[in-house]
Amino acid sequence: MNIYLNGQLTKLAEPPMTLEHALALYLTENDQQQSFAVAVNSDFVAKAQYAHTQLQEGDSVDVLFPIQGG
Amino acid sequence: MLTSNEQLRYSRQIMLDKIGEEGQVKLRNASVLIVGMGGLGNPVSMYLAAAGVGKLIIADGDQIDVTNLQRQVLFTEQDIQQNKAECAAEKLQQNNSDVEIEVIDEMMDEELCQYYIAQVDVVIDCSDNIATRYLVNRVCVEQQKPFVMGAATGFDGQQLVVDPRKPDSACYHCLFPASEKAPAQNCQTVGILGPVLAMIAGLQALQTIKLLTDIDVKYNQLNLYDGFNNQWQQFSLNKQSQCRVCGK
Repeated sequence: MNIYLNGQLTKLAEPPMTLEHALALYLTENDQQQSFAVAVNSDFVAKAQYAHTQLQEGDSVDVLFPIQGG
Repeated sequence: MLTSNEQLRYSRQIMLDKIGEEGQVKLRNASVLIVGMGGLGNPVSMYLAAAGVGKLIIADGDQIDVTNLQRQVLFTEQDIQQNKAECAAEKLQQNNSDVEIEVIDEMMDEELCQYYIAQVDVVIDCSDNIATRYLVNRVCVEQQKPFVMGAATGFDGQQLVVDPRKPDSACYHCLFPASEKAPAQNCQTVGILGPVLAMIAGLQALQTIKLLTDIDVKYNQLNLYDGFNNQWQQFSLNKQSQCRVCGK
């Protein structure tokens, strides 16, 4: 099963997979400790829902970090 | 009512159905706080002063440095070492002497935020650090003031309107719950191109004019600009009931 992770076509190792599982696999440890937001198909998913969100073939998962500068 | 000078000066925006004389009067009666007079604050303040916003309160505790000139387009070589807010006030006043400008020549802290946010209609975040962004977001939520967030580094920008007057409006903390380990990336560490700031600042100024003239503004929408690939993306968010800042 393939998804788009920040625009990059990514083959999921062990589908089916929850969003929580995918983030644990594909985000670096450093990234996971930071403040970030995740959108699936352009809609943000609340942190509490990561474990309950099942990824589907072709989903676009965007992981966003706060930009600091101004 | 507008004077005949005002009718002429602002004729090109009064001409717009959605603004009209009524909108121009709203702009003239409005007060706006701009937090940060760097790469975002410069163009935001220029557009709002030019548009005839009645009062601008501009805050920055920094001095102008030679490395700012590449993107902070209000400032010149002669202005180096001056306080940014003071210097900007002078330039903005030259553009529009009708605008009242108040300078805060220090960094915003809790007390300054509480005091000044209470006085304005809209707060614009043009700061260069996330601690200030969280602070301004929280005080805006407490005082139910619309908050126009903007940020940019590298080729990328983010823009969000938070409108705490709307019961379903998400806040910045709903989007990015504060973490002890925030990324230490700002203009000093990763660089920035001036026009990327202009894109985000232009959107912030536009959203502010719409808020002040009672035109509907989309909240719960994060606007993301990718200047490298020349793309805008919109993401939808929802108020988080467990949010430490705006939740119940």
